[in-house]
Amino acid sequence: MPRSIIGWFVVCWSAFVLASVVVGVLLLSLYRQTTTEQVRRASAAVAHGCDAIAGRYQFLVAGTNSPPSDLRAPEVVRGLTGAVQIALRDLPGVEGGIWQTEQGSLAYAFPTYEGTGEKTDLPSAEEPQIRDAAEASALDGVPVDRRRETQSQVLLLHACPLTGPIPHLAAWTMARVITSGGRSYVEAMAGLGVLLLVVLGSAAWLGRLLLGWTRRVRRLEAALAAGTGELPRLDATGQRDLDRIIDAINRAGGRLADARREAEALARQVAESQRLATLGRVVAGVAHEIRNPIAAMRLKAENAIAAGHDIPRKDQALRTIIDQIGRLEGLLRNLLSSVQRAKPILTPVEDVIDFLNERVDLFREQAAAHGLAFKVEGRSIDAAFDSARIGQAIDNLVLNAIQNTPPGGSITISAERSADRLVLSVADMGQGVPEDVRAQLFEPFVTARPDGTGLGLAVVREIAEAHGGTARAIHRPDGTTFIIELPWRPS
Amino acid sequence: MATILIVDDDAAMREGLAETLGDLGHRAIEAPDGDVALAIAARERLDAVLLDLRIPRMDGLEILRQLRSRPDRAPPVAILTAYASAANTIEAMRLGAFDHLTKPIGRDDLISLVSRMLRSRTAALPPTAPEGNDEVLVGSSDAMRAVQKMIGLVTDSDATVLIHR
Repeated sequence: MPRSIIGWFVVCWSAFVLASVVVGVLLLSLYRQTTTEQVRRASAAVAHGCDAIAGRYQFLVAGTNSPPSDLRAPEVVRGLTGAVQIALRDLPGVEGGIWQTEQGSLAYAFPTYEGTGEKTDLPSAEEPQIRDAAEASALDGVPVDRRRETQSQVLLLHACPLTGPIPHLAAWTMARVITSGGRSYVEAMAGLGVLLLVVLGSAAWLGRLLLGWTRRVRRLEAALAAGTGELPRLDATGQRDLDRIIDAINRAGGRLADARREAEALARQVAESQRLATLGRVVAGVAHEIRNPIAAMRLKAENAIAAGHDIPRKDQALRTIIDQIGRLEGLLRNLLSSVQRAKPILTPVEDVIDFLNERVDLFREQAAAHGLAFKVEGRSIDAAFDSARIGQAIDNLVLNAIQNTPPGGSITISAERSADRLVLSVADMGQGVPEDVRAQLFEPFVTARPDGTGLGLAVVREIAEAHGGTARAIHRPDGTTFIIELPWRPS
Repeated sequence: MATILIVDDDAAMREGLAETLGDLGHRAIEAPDGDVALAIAARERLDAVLLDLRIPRMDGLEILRQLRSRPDRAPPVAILTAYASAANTIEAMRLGAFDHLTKPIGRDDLISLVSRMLRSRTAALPPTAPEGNDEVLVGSSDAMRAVQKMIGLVTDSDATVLIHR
């Protein structure tokens, strides 16, 4: 079973050629049959003609016992010719005559001759054959059939002995069956010619069609393959069936492009509104964190002015103001480091556990004040990372854990290496992160604690991402585990 | 001399407020968070409260709700916040806040606020209706803030309000 339309065409065309060959063969055999039949009919006619001449001759010589003295006497010739004439009158295409061995042709007639005038002379081309047949027949006293086939005709010659007063006498008849140039020949050849023309024409036409089709399909294929992402706009090929498909593809492509444009516009809108929402939260956070110190400074300053000459009070106001300026500066520094991505400076760390212990030591006093204990877990690992910044991230997480864990709880800090990742984690035993904050937990100014600035985790994420790693939180039923995952590099 | 409670997690802010109140001759009590504030409120007879909205462990609005739970003997409570939104302004006013001011608050504003609070010890509506819906009102101008406060004050009454400018 062919799978392509071209395969189907070839199969159909092959069937058509087969049918044509069969028809051709039938035509030829029909023609041959026709020729054979004609020859059979003609030989029957010549035999019949010869018999008829013999009959006429018997009638002519009835009662005569001696041969005429001069066989070429006009009355003799006239009589014989008349007998032949009458005998062959009703046999179209048959000519004949009477032959005497010693005297040669005594009579000849071709009553159904189709040419102009009357044909009275023996066809000289066939004379040797006529002589041969007639003399053989007269000699043997039996009918003789001679048949000569040439390219364009079959010559049928029949001779039969004439018994009577004239010795060595025979009648002959002859007919020609035209084999080429005849009506059935022309018909057969015309049929074959038309068949051949149709076969060749259809082959050429089909070939051209298939070639055009293949070329168009290949062009379509190339145009479709060339399109990057979107469906390309296809040009009409001029072939109606293909053009219908192309129209459909073009329409589908248009719809696809519209849908894509719409989706992109929507995605842009969503991204924009998310950006605005994040910005809104950040700005609200900044406003809150900046207005508190400003409010304190303003009140202290106005109080100091209102106090008149109370110098210690003015000094105290100035100190408060300086403290608040420091607070604002710290806030801005944190804010900047939460959004500024600096390339980490990798330093070798021989044992990550020792490194973690050093960080934790800074908070032992503070933790003890809250009634908390630290646990540092993990096997000794060597690694390379920006120890100052990772230290800052760990500090933020530990501070976060201290503030979130109720007294009596413990904080677990651990390090482990899995294949090419270094995983640092800080687990607290707090109340967990409220659902509404989880999604934006690592954004600046997102905090579940009213006293937090919401910058600690943003800084942690920024440091982790600067190292090519990630920061995330796992929300356990009994607390939260913050994880910093870094690509592991050997020290 | 009046006794005024300052609830704010920011020590410098508390101190500044206390200093101003001291200058006016009032007694200021400072509370860094909600628990301390409610404990003091239960113990002391307060003439006014200055309350920050964003404070540790207990939301400012929750403290306000608890302080105003017995409106007959509740002191007037003024909200001082660093970040005023339409929602928290309306909610605070609905819960019976005396006023809702945005930090940084100036000394003169504070003095005027305290004197107004002490003058109208009884003016405030008790909270009666359930939570309102969260429709968003945009705007942070003084005029708009006044409108938001008014909405908070009338939101639990049946009165039809025309907002007109």
